[in-house]
Amino acid sequence: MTLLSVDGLRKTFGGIVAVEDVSFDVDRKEIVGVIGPNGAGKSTTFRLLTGFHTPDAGRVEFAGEDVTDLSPDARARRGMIRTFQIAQELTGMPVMQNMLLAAQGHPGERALTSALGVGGTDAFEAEQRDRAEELLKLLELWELRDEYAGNLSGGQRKLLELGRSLMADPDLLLLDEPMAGVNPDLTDRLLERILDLRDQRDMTFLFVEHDIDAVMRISDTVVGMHNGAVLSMGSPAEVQSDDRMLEAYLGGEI
Amino acid sequence: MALLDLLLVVGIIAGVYSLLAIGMNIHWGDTGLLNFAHAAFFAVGAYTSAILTTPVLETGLLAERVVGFDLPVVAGIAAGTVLAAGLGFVIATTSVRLEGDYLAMVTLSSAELVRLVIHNEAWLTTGAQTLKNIPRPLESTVTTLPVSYDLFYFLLVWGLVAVTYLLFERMSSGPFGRVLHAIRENDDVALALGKDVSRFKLKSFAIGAGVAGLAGSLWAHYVYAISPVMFLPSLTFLIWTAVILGGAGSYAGAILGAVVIVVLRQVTRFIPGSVPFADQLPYIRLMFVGVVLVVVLYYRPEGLLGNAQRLQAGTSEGE
Repeated sequence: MTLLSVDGLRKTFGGIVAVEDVSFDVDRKEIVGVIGPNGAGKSTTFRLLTGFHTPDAGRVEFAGEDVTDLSPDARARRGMIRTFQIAQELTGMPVMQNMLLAAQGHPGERALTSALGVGGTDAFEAEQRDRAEELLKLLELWELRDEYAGNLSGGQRKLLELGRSLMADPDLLLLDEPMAGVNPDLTDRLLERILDLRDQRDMTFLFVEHDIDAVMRISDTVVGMHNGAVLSMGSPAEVQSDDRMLEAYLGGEI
Repeated sequence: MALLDLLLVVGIIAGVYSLLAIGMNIHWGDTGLLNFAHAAFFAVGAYTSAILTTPVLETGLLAERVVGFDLPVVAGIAAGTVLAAGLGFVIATTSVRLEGDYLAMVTLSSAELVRLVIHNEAWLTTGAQTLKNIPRPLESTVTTLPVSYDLFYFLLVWGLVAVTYLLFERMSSGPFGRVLHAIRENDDVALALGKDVSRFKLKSFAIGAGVAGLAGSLWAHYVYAISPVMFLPSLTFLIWTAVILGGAGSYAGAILGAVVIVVLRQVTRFIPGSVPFADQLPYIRLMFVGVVLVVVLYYRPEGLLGNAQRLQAGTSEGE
């Protein structure tokens, strides 16, 4: 069943066509990796999917609803949660607060209920703390829960960002280069975790990644982009053996 | 005895300024919004309350005011608070999507606009002249009691400061404040996590403006008479100084900063004229406030009660 449907996306910046006629579908519980050399249009596509850019043409549908013109926060509330390429942890907030922020539908986020502590705020908060504890322990960040996120190492920030996006309990998790700057051992753990989440929580993943190895290992479908367009699409093996992709990466000098 | 009276007056002013600083702190300290319209919220609170609680009467030489409602003081204070919050909401609606400096410019000019409207719409506000005879709450009752009216008002103001402080402290440390802090740190992240950033900014703006309006109402009912010159942008800058001095993000700091500023300004009034430059005091006083700010920030960049750890972590680039 299709969860995310992308149809004919186009985006230009001045005279530069960043993305041209990009179409693909993502099924529920599918893991889709988007690859391509620098300037292929991956990041722009990612921003179009998450609402941080509006497309010049084309359509994005999520769970049967047209979300093309929705703001990033409105998409997030519908279950599309993104991460950032450079981890955007909130440096001036402790790790635990970063996690709790991501909880969706918090009754205490209204000013008055927050001030008076009514409307089930405390119960909800306690529930979310338990969830955060579980995730932080899994990501080996539990000991650092009261530390300001700005004091974490680069890899830890990456993990915190992943943990925070999981706190939002998304249906579709959009990961922008989750493996960049992460050591191989951690990469393995992240990949395992993604597979677990898919199997246990029926999560769907779309990720943009430079680490081809990682993409080939866990993706069900790979979307290969070049010069703003989809060049090759299919199983990892198919895309890997597609001569056009090889050419795109190596500049045709094989 | 005279000293005690003086302390009460300084204390009342400090309480009013503390409310202003609390309102500023939710804007800047919690949400990171550059609000330079605080004097306008203060003015709207003061004038709303004054107009609602006085009868129409000929005041001053060229009095033209034709509006007055003679309502109870409580109604005036409530309306002043609500209307200031409403003004905050309106200003924020038009400009909250603006980034930093631009928001500062729009708010500063909005505040001047409000002041000029007050200055010119004499039928409503008596214009440049003072709007006088603003009633003091429970004055006839308090005079029958063995306490001075200033003591009563001091307790009233500081009681409200205490309640406001508790509410804001809870709001700031709760889930609502968490979203505001996230917006302060990085609003793209807040968006990506499904928070309606503009709405939260609007709420923060309106709430802080409301408290400034409350301060304005309390001020009007204490000083009997108000005029537009009380609401110049310099008041806004003074409150900024208080918040930064006390430590942005800390409500206790905002109150402490306000008290320090008010004490500095009021105590220097009593330097005898024989001291050199004493006749230049009004100008020197502002310089003195500036020097204190510089000295405090040199030794404590986070302010008196600010959070140094947060400041340090917040500027970290990672790795």
